[in-house]
Amino acid sequence: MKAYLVRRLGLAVVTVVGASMLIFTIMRVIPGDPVTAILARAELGLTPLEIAKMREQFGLHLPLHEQYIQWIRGVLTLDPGTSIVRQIPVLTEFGRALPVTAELTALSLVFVIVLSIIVGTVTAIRQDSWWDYVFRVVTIGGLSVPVFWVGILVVLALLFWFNYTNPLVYVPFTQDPLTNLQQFLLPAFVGSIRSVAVCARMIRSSMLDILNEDYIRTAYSKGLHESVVVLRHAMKNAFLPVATIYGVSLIGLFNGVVVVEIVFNLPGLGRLLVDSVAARDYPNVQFVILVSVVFASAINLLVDLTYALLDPRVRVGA
Amino acid sequence: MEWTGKSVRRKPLGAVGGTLVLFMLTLAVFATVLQNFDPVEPHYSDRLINTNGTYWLGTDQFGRDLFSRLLHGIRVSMLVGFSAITIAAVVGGVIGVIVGYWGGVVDLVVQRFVDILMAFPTIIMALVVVTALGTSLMTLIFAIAVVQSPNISRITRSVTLSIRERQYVDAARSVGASDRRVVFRHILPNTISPWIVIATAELGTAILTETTLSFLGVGIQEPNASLGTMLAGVAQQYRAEAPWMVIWPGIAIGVAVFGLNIFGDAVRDLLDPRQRDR
Repeated sequence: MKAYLVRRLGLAVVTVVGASMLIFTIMRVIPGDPVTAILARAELGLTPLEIAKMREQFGLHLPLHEQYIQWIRGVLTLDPGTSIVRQIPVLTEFGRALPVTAELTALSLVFVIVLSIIVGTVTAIRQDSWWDYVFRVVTIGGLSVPVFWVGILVVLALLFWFNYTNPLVYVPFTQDPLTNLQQFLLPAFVGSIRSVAVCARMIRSSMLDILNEDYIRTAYSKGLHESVVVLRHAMKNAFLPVATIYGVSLIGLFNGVVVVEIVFNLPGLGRLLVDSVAARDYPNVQFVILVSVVFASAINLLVDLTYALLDPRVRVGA
Repeated sequence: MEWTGKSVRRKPLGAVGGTLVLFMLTLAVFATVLQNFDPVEPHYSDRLINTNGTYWLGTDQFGRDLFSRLLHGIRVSMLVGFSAITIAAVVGGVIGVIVGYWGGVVDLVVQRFVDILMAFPTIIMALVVVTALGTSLMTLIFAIAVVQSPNISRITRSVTLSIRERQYVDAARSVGASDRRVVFRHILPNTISPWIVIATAELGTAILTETTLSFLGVGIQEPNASLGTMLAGVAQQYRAEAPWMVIWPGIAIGVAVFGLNIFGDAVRDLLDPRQRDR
């Protein structure tokens, strides 16, 4: 196990370092460095000398690898630079956006877990029933439309039938928990739909496997009630192989959250990223992306380690 | 022909999917023939009009005919999706077979690179690539190909790895077949079906990625239409007065991707019975 742990951890580090280099390089390929971007924004009549000075201030006169090292050093000492547009520390902007995305992702995950377990189990024990067919059509349909469109439709439907609009201006949870939840539940639900569909399908098929096992038939033939058989006997074993999908679904959720934030006008990391990309605010962009990569790699690592812990064949095989 | 007939009977849902895809492709190909108006031509006196005899699906805030815009949107989205997947499938497939067959250092290096690409959330990666290269149809296709190819290469690699160990490959080698002969005659033909399966499955994803990128404002730019552009920005301001502006493009995306998804499922079941879904 130890050897596997070391190996897997090493791979994760290589991935993250490689990804950071890739982001950095891409951001430098973007036409027009940040200084040009600022100049275009401010329309100041600066002399070439002043421009050169500004480039120096951003460290743009250094060779690429030195710039990279400088950036990484900054990231590691929690000083990933200053945003170009608003001229405030990247960490401050990031700190403002993080709670929004974290809350959205956490709420979505709750939706995913609760809904996928219910839907997955019900459709498995009532295989080929009316419920099962409805679910199958809804899943394939749900996976066929973009998340943002579902968001737009939900907002529209509520407006038409209930004359209801989601609160428009973001209210932090600490300030007014009720309004905040009102604001977050809908986007969290919309953001969770894809993952619910995927997870419920996996639970359904895992559940079906278990329900065909002999011990389940034995349980039934002992005269146990269906609820006992399903809840006490089947569920435990059915969830083990799929427990880690919730970890993986977190990555997918994060992907969806970016779009959901735009539709529901929430000032989270997705909003920050899209705005920063549009404004060529590269310190923001590269930091947000780096964090998302670290987040995704950490989850993948945890999932792999969980598998290795549960299934010895994984560690030997790798 | 006989095979097709048998497949349709075995997989009626897949046939429905295939028909939907063909239908959308026909709309895309004949967009300029089927259109009632120039898709970018404004009719300022007919702004935000609901479905009627002249404007089949209504008009947008500039009085542009939504039906014609939808046709061109479908054309662009299909073009981007199919091109991106073709590129990703060829590049990913070739890389997968090469590293799977020869292994060693090349494999190690390429796999690390694949890991790195797969560590990025896909939408974010595509967003950044498009921005870096400048927004255009070509860069959009390229960006989607970049985020899709690692997955395809990973799958072809693992298939190649397992085929390489088969006895008939050993047999071919032992009678003196060259690497080239083994790869082209024995390995490639056997990687084709999983390769087709994954490419078909990813087509829907590619179209969704295009619409999302265009929705976020980095894809196809106004006044040109893509299914994502039609849902972006301004369309959202008018969604209460003119809901048809946001409803039709979404339905078009849904039909196209739904068709591709069930068609893809059927293709998978027909080509690879082991992976059949219950």
